[in-house]
Amino acid sequence: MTKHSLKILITLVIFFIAIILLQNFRDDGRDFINRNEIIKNAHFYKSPAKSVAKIKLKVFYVVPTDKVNSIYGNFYLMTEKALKDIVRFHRFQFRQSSVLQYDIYPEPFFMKENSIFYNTENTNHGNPEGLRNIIPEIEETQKDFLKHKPDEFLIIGVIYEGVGASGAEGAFLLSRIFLSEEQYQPIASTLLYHEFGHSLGLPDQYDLKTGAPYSNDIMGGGREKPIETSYIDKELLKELGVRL
Amino acid sequence: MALVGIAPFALLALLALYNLNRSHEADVMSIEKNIINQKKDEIQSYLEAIQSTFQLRVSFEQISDIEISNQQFLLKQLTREIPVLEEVAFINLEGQETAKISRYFGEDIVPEEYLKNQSEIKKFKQAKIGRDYISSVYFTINGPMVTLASPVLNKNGIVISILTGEIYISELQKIVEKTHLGEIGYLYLTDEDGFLIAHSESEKMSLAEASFKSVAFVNQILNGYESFALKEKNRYESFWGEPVVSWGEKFDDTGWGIITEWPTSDADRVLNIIKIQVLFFAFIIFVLTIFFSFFITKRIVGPVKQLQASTQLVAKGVLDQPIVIKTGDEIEDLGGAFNQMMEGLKQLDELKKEFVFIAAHELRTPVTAIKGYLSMILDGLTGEINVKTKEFIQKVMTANERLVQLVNDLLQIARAEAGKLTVQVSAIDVIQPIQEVLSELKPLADEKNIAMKYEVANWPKAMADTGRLKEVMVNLIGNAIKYTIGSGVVTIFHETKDKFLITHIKDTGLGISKEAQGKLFEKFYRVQTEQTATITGTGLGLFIVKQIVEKMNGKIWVESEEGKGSVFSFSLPLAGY
Repeated sequence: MTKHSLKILITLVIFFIAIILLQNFRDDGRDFINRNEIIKNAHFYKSPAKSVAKIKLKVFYVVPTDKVNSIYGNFYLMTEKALKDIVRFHRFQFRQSSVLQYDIYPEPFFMKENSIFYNTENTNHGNPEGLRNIIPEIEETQKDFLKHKPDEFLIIGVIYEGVGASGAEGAFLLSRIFLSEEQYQPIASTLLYHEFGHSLGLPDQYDLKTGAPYSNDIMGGGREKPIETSYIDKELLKELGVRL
Repeated sequence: MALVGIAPFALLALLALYNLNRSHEADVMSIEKNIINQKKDEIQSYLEAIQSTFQLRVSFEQISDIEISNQQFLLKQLTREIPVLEEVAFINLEGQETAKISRYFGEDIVPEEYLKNQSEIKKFKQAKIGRDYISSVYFTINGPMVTLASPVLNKNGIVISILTGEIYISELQKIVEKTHLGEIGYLYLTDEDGFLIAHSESEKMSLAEASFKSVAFVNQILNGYESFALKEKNRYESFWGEPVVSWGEKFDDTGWGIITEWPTSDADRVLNIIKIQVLFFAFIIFVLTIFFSFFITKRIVGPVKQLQASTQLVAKGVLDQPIVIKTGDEIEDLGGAFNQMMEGLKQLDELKKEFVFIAAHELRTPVTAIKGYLSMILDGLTGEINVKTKEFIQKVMTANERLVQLVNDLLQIARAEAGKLTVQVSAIDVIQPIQEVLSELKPLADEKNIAMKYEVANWPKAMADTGRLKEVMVNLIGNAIKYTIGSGVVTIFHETKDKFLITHIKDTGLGISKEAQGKLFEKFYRVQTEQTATITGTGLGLFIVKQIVEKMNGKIWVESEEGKGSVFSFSLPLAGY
């Protein structure tokens, strides 16, 4: 056999081997996905720069001085039950893009003033004044408990031994009654998340005067449904950076 | 020849694999497409069936709402008929809920104080203008849901109320469940944003919280691309991390996507087996083709090459080596004919040699006689001759001398070729014969002013015939003198190497070209240059020298460079070895 023939023969053998290799290692033009890279990109409502990918919720059972005798003894378990519900709901609605963790202050937090100081008599708009007065007092005295990691978005939750329900950026208030009274039991967690939603910047989805909903999600008509059947409206989720 | 057989086969194998791939891709596509079409129809039928239950038409012509008690009755009926209804309600044309049943209220009629104004909600706005409404999917912990709303029409087709409901679409999970492609292929349904509504393997539902739009193929399906347009991209790593081949379609009305993903390990399993078989058999046939091709090549080309080698031997005058071809076919016949031809040539050669020998032998007597008589005439035995006659006779004498030399050379060659060249080899001291040759040729060298040097030393004895050695030396030293133009030096020296005594005759003559060196020892070959044109010779001397040296078991060779002289060397076996 000449050298030339040998070269052609070797070429053909390589050709066959190449075919075998190509068959086994064909590039299928795949688009590879790394599930670990799903970005936790949730942010504060309409504020992409303000990440809520990690939320640390610090919850206090707040008792004004004049309500000491009305302390709800089972407050911790009651609060934790509702918090577990909203963690599950939050995780489900935010599709992994935000993680909610909570700490419950183990004792009732006694305020310095009577109920009247915290303007709890005015509940027409959910007692926002109460929230404004209570939060500074907590922040002033509970610095250690409020410590959180720099990448965590801090929210202070107030289970209030009084009346009212309201929320604003980074804080919310809900009357203990909504968590403990029998009549609110089916929707207690829904109401808690509704107010928590305000602390993420979510607006009410109903007319504050007539109560007519703009949507039937948890910020609108759905706030009066059990949390298992409620949801966050698609448009709101988009503004939270959750939906594509 | 082997390659001629392999090349088309390799192309055939390649073509087979290509067609196999194409055919398989088409089969997979067809299977996936059929399943998708079937499930898509089932899903659409299900949704249409639900929607149709919301499409009410009353028999009266008035443009007034249905009585509340009737509304409540109808709602209860609906709740019983459609177990996936979470909530169902009538809304009047002002947007106020007028009757409602909710599972939250234990499937009872919802108290009036809980009825809401829905005038700002999209479902009301759309149904009020006579259009059926189906919302985007919303995902609750209990399962994916949609909101349906349809206008309630009177006998004349005028909207008098709206019927709306919140419905779990978990039933869709039952439709797609247990749908399989092959062993492990699956199907899933997403909403317009790529979130899972249902999956044929329900356990995968809980693992997929992110949008499937992160899968490029799914994203493009949801963006309205046809699968046909994406068939070059329908192989990828799935959301669950396995290579899949997929197909998908979008629902026109809801914007949902229905996707099949078939892990390639399963979808291509049979194909891979066939491919391996094709490649295996291709390789086996490839090897067999090479093997048999070489066998056939050897059978056909081998004898041809044998014939070719024999023709080269014949060209060199070797006529006593017949070829042996045993193929039992025409090539063997050809070999026989070749041997016959060689036999004929051999006979002709022998006739020629015999003729030359006889002619030379018969010529020697008359030319010797001519030489003798001419000598006598020149010596004046026939009386006084004039100068002119003497000059002519002298020329005749010279010509006759050349003729004598030629006859002698031819006789020598004829003897050699007839095997009659006799050599009496014995252990001799080569110095004495060489010195005698030098003495003999000295006048010739002196005439041309050429010095002759012989480096005498105590060399061992060599096996040679003294007479033949002198013949060799006369030829080689004579040539050295003859081919040195003008004065020069001829040097003779010895060396021993590998049990041989080597004698070198070095001159400062014309030198010989490389091309001429190869033919120098052939019969009648003479170097033809401008400078050698006047030098006489028969072209037989070196041939005879070669025959003699080889007869004495030696070898002869030459090293030369044009214009710088030549070195002729020959070896003789050392005595005692």
